[in-house]
Amino acid sequence: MAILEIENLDVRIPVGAGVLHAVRNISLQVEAGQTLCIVGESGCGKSMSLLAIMGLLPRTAQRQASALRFQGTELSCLNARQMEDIRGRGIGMIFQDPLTAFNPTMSIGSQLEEVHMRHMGAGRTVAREKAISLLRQVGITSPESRLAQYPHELSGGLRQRVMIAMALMCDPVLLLADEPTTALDVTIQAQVLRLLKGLQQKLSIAIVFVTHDLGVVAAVADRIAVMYAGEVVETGSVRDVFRAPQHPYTQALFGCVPDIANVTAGRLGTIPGRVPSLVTPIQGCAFRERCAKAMEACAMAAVSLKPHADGVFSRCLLSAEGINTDEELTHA
Amino acid sequence: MTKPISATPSAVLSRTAVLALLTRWCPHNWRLGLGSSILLLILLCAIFAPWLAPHSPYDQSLTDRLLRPMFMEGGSWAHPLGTDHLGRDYLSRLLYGARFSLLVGFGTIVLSAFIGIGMGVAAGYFAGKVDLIVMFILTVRLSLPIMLATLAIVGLLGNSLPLMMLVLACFLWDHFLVVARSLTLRLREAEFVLAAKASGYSDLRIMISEILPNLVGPLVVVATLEMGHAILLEAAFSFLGLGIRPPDASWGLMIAEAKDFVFFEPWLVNIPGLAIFILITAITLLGAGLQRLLVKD
Repeated sequence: MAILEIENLDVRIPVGAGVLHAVRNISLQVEAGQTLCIVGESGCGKSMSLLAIMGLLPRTAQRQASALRFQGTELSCLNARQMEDIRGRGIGMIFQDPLTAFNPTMSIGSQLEEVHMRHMGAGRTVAREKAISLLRQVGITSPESRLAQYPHELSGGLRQRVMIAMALMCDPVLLLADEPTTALDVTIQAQVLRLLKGLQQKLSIAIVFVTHDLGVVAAVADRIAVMYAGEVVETGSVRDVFRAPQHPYTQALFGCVPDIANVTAGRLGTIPGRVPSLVTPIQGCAFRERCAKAMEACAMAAVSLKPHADGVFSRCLLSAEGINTDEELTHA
Repeated sequence: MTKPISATPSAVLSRTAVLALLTRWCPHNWRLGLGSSILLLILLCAIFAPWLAPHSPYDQSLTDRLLRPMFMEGGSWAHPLGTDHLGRDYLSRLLYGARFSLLVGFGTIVLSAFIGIGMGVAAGYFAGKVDLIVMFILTVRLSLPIMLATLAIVGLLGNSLPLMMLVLACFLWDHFLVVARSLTLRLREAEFVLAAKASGYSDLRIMISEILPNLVGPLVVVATLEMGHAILLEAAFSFLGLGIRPPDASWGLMIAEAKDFVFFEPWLVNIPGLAIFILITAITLLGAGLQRLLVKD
């Protein structure tokens, strides 16, 4: 059974005069023990999607979904109290910046323990044992003494490990990670990714991992969803998408990855143009203005996700029918 | 490894952090040192008044009326600060009066901090309609003249110490509210508040255990300054006959009772006046010192 099922999730946030259509009609699924990576540029709705799942969108935001199920429970039917029980208990969350995500006035220990006490109804001693065992699992030496320390006394890598431990305090079945390695340097990043992967295999939790780093995706993901301008433009298993990306945006993203084997290649690849404003309604394909393969038909109507070989779905007119149909579409 | 003080977040207020800060900053923070030692001295005087006072503050002796203090001509050590118009020992009354001044100061601050911080944090955290209502209440409060409103309330209900503190508390919460609200408005966007929500904490829990500890530093500063304000107001009300009831002594009341003699025996007014001045100065110094210590940015 899928741990998390999202169908047609839509998020709109009123801003000034207009309405920011932050997440447009996305559908995702995560199975137990699986890692789904959501990839995309800044402001493409990755983090908003995570917040929408947790029900933590800004107060003014509107969330619509034909289904938003966690372990078969429809989340949009729950009241605030029931939602609080799911947050932290069933779904753990890891944030990008482990410094700002801890309360500076409380010791690591009390922050970890309180999550456990809140959800499991455990006493302080039980919670403390759980915290110590988890800190040990995330590779922190002498966890007993760490518990008394404050967030500012720990290094970035340590803080991120503590944050992972905090998200795991109540044995969640789903972990939402919002760029958990972006604030870390590369060696620590590799350690944290290995740690997450190891914990996932041991505890068989599902992870939704938001990142803009394709290297990270290759390291942790089972499935990938590429987002652009608030919608999923390509999704499939990591191996298939990495081997043969279908959507021009995904292809362009891969074109931007520096090639170490061929350093003499010159300039780093970039995608020309900018992400379209999400306030003005988007006609047709959102990527067409930056797409090298754009055609007249791209501007006509919204493109739907089309199945491709190996269960890869792509939101491009070119992908399903193949490039041969270029002519027909242009004349249509 | 020693950690540099400047790297700690401004509002960290654990016991160890406070001790470390005090030992490190007191030599460089004369305001804090001077203010807290004077205040401590006054506090000890007030607590140990029954042992320190040479006479009872209520014993009248009409033969010993208006004796001058020892440092003036005709003074004696029997009454170091002289006696008032009813022959009561002035030093004893001053010592007992400190109890009322400090009690009113502390009591008022506890109550008004409760009101102000509660509304301020709620307004900042929920924003929107809650904020609108709280700001309306604040506007109403700011438009009420304290003296006139208190006069009306005391006139209706009669004067007593608890009523005095309650009335003052109802008028002195505005600074707490403004400071708590503006800091909370900034903190509600902090990622650790989002993290707390993601851990399934309720709004009330987040306000109390996540936001409040981060407000302690600035609010302690507000509390000291407002305490000085409360003591001054109590003195003013006692002077007007709205505060402490005779024969109890309070510094404001002592000035009121001495006002008839101000041209003949000015020391009667000057001694309690000086006491109020020293207490307020000490509290203000403490507030300024704490501000430098706790609110660095």
